[in-house]
Amino acid sequence: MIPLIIGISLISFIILHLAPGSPVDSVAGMNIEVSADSKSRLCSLYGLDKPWYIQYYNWLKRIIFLDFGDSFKDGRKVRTKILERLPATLLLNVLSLFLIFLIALPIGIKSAVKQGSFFDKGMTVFTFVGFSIPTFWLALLLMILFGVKLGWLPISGMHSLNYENFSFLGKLWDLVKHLILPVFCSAFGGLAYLSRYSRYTMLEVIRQNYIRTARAKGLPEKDVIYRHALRNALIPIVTLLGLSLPGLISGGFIFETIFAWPGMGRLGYLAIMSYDYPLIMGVGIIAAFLTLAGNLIADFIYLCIDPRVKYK
Amino acid sequence: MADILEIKHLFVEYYKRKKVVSALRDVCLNLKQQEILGVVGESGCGKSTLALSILKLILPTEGKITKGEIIFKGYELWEEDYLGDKNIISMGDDSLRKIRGGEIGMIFQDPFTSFNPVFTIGEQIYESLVLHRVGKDLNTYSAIHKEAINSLKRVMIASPQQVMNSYPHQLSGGMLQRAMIAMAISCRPKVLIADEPTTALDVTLQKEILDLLKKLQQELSMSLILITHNLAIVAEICTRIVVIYAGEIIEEAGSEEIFCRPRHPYTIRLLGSLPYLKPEGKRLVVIPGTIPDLIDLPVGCKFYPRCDEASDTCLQKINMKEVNKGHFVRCCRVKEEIDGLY
Repeated sequence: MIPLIIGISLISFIILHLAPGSPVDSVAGMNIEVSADSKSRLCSLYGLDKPWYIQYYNWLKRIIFLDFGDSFKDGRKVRTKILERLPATLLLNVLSLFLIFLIALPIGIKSAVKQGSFFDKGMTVFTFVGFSIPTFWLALLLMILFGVKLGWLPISGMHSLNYENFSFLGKLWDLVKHLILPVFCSAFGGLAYLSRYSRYTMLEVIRQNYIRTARAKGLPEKDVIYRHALRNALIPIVTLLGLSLPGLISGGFIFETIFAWPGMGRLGYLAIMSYDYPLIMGVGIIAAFLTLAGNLIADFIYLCIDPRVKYK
Repeated sequence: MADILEIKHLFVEYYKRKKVVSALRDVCLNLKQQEILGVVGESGCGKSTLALSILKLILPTEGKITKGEIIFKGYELWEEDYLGDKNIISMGDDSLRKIRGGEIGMIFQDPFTSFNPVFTIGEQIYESLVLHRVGKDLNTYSAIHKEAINSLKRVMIASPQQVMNSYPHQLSGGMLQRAMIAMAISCRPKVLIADEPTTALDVTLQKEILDLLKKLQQELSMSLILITHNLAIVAEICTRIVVIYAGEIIEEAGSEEIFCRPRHPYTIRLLGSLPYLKPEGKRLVVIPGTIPDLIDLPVGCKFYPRCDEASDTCLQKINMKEVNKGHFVRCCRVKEEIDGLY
């Protein structure tokens, strides 16, 4: 895992430096009043005058002590900046992931069990639509409908302006109102995908011989489905769960930007736009770490739920 | 002996891409108490469909029983004043579940895929016992455990405790099939259906499993339906044999009768195509052609296109007729042959 992280960070570092433009340009490039002298001073201040491998080495040395460096933009610690964005991202994504699994799994199971029924056909249409709709477009449409036309829901941010004046319940309600659209939009695509995927794995499982054996034993249909079939169908779904872990924290760049949600995704987006190297690397490395951790966790869950998988 | 199971005019159809596959047609069959009935036929003739129909296990997405009755006569509750439905096909879910596993046990062809891979053998046997015997004669955990161990001992498993704690992938095919049999007999069914129980196994294991089935059938006084394409197997242990061809029963007789005096041309050729131990340069005799397409069946005798004795009379509807006591044949030329051959 450690070599992988080093590899990933090295490649992202190189790509970052290959990209045209530099932090100095983004601050002073267009300003004719900034002299070449002060530009080079800025360069050495950020450590950008050294070759990229020295810069990488220095970055690596700091990262070992979990020091992500200071943001170029406002000089604040990258770690602090990330930590203050984390709760908002976690809230949004845990909710949407929870919603995806809560809704998609039963839909998938029911579609598979009643294959070819009206419900199944309806859900097939829904997933087709869900796959095809660009979710950022859907997000904009929903903002127009609920935010602008009907005025029921706020269209951006996490709190209203007068948030501080509300009572505790009022604050909670305000938060919920702000959450509805972003959570729905970020869950929408996943919902279509996971319900289709769980329908497929369930269909695969209920055709197996051991399901017939379970029925031949005299088990009631609900035990056949929820005990014998589901346990097996969940195995591939766990992989998906593991792989969606990094998304929980790195956040959705698109949705957080559209809804001006103060989370990690928006932080990363803004960092990229302003050549904030330490911040980009910080967000990137956390995403990389979580991806690897997600895989590892999925493997561990496998170990628990599939007796055929053994740790060697 | 009295009948324990009676199948009357059973028709089963499968649906494949909107086409109707006629898997079983007008199957009438009765199973006597404590007999071993062999059901023989080539692949795709409807043997397994027959087995699945008896427990109504055909998936509704794949096909269904279109006509017929399957009457189970062994249920204790039914002996005197039971007024409900005795027909497995039209029976309600609750009664059906009591029959499945409790009164009629089933063993499948491939033991590797017939156990659920994520539960231990013990858990899967417990499940059967809890379903059918808790509330009757087993009421404590230790009683259930003891009974599961007993079942495994009955099928000659030397280390039952170890097998109970194993997952299916940790056991060999022979061991798994024994465990499958143990699970099927654990609830003391009156009928045991074995659908090609030895096909997926090593030849050396076949005899062991067959001997075991025969032993259990006697010990537990069950009726056994043995479904197979292997004539040697039925010859060895069955008391009565039914030959199926293209979804129809074409011959039914006692085991000895069928092997010594087969009447239907198909049965005669089937027995003729058995390999001999000393071939002496002779080629293996085969039946030319293949079984007819079940979507588009020939009229009259279904064996007609492959039969050398066929004539125009074979093109009409042919019914089963009794040619000897307990020996039934579905062939229009059979009478003429009796005089000619014997």
